[in-house]
Amino acid sequence: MNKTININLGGIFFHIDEEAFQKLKRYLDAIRRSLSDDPQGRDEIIKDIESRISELLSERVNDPRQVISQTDIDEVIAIMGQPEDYMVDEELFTDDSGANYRSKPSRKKLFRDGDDKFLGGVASGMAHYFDVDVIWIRIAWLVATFGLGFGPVVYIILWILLPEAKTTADKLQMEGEPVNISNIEKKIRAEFEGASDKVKDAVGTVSDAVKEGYENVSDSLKKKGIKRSQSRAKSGLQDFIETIGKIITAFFMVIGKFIGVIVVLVSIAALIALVIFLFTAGTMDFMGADSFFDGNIQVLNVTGFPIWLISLIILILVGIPLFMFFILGLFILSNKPKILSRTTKFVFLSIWIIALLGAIYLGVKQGVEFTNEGSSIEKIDITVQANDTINIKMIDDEILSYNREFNHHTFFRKVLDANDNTKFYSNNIDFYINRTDSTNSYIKVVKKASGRTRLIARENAEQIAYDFEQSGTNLLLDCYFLMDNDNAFRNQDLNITLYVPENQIVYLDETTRFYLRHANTTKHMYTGDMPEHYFKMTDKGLACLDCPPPKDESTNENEEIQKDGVNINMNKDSLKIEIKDNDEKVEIKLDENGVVIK
Amino acid sequence: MKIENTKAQMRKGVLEFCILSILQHGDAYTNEILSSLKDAKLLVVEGTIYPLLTRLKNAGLLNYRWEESTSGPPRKYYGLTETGILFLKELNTTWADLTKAVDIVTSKKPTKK
Repeated sequence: MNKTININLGGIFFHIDEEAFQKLKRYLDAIRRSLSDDPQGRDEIIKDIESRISELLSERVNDPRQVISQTDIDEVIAIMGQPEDYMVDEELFTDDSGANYRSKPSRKKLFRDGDDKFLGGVASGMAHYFDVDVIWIRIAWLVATFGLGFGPVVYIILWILLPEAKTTADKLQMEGEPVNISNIEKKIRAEFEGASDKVKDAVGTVSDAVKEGYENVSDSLKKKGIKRSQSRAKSGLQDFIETIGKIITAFFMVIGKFIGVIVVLVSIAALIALVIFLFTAGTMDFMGADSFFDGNIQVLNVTGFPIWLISLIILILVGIPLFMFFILGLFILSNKPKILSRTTKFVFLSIWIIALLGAIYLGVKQGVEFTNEGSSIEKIDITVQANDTINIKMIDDEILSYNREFNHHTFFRKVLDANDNTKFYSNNIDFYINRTDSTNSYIKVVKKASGRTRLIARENAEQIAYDFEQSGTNLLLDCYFLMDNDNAFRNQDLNITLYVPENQIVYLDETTRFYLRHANTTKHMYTGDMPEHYFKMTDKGLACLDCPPPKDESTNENEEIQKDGVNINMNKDSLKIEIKDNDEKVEIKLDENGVVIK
Repeated sequence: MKIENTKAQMRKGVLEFCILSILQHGDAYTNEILSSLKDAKLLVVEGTIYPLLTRLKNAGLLNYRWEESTSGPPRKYYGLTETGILFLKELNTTWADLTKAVDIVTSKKPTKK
């Protein structure tokens, strides 16, 4: 099945098959081109030819409804002859030595080959000119660029100066074929067939292109001399600039794609990590990311909602934006305008908003549990003889603290106590030593926790189980406290303060180092330095009894000031000033021998 | 040198002369000129004649008029002008001389010296 076209040929109406029409049109155009430049004579001849063809065709048409086919056109062309047959060779009639009128010397011309180009087609054009494979020319250019260095400059000059072989005639000249109608026809037909193989529907378009090709041939054949080369040079420059633009565009495209790849990879990785994290939350210590709680995410959840629901909400809340990032990355990579439909986006947005509301609700509920802080305070006297030394030790439970590093905060760790009850273990304990005016030493234990109300907070605080004991002069403080399973995480905290009267001597065991937060000392010692020393309480704080005496700095006072090339060195006996300015140096020395200036 | 080209050149050379000769017997419509030439095997394809007719017309040797046709659009009838007739007469004598000369040259047997 073919489309037909109605044409008026030489005053007669014809139904003609579309392909036959294109053929006839090409044929007539070719004749038009083969005729001399005189436009009036040409039009007249074409008119005559058209009416003759219409006569020939009407002989073939018996029924007005009959359609002219390609065969009909072929037969007519056979009668009328090829376009070359229409050529009136002026030489034949005007010049008596016109025997070799057909064989124009086919000189090769140097063009840029736009059909086989890497940058501007200079190399392929040269390859045509020198009749070698283009790869050798390109290698030569590479050598000229990287070996000799002048390559790019010469290339750009050639690019600008050499015309591109745009028309079929140019291409034939470039390849050294004689420019005649049959060669042009052949070449265009080859291009035409190549194109029509690809897109069958595009016959019309392609034939337009063929027509254009013919017009280019005639136009460019008309242009001659300087005018021609000027316009070509200009188009060479334009082409050069355009290609530079294309390279820049391509560069940014590559960067864009690169960003796209990164976005896709990062979002996929984040999604996978998120899913793994949420699925394993609470069941394993996820890559140590949660060492404070030793993987017990659940204890953080005081809302009473199952952990899976919270996981789901987090998954949706974080996962959907990540997924959108992923889609964005795909969009950058593929340039497809619509990867997700409107509905899908809308559904995603709705789910996300629901999850957001859920998260807000959970957050508020969670937050409420921490709004109030309550504490319970215990005061216990310590009975020691006046001259006794209180020996302070921090004791850990070996079973409960199993696998715990000593200098490591464990805020909330699930453990089993001696009765196999699940408890939570924390060593979040701060230890202080203060002076008291009373005659007895005593210890104050402050338990703190959060809760919905102050009362609940205090109850939560009271739930904290803490123990210590005095055995003789030894004060054995547990370095941990335990919480009930159902009490969960409420920001529990425990402070121990030891109050001692003046003149009481205490010894800090090595084990207190990690817990001792603050103690007033006469020498303002760093708390980390205090353990393993004896201290006596004075009215100015704890005085160390066995600390090595600090170096007397006044005996060897040596002050040095260095600023902007000025160096001042000063001590009890002398003063030395050095001034440096670039290479010049002045030194003033003042000591018992007087003043020396160098 | 291709024989086909030489033949075509020979034919083309005398074509103008032949067209004028056909028209000396009276005006003719393109098809009639064509069929006469084709009958005489002077013309292989029809296309050649159109540029020639236009050339001759432009040179003032031919003129044409439009005549209504019973079947289809009007037709072009060519006829000789005064100059055309004079031109043809001259060509006739030239042709007669030429054929004689060519005959003599081509039929002459090579003579050894």
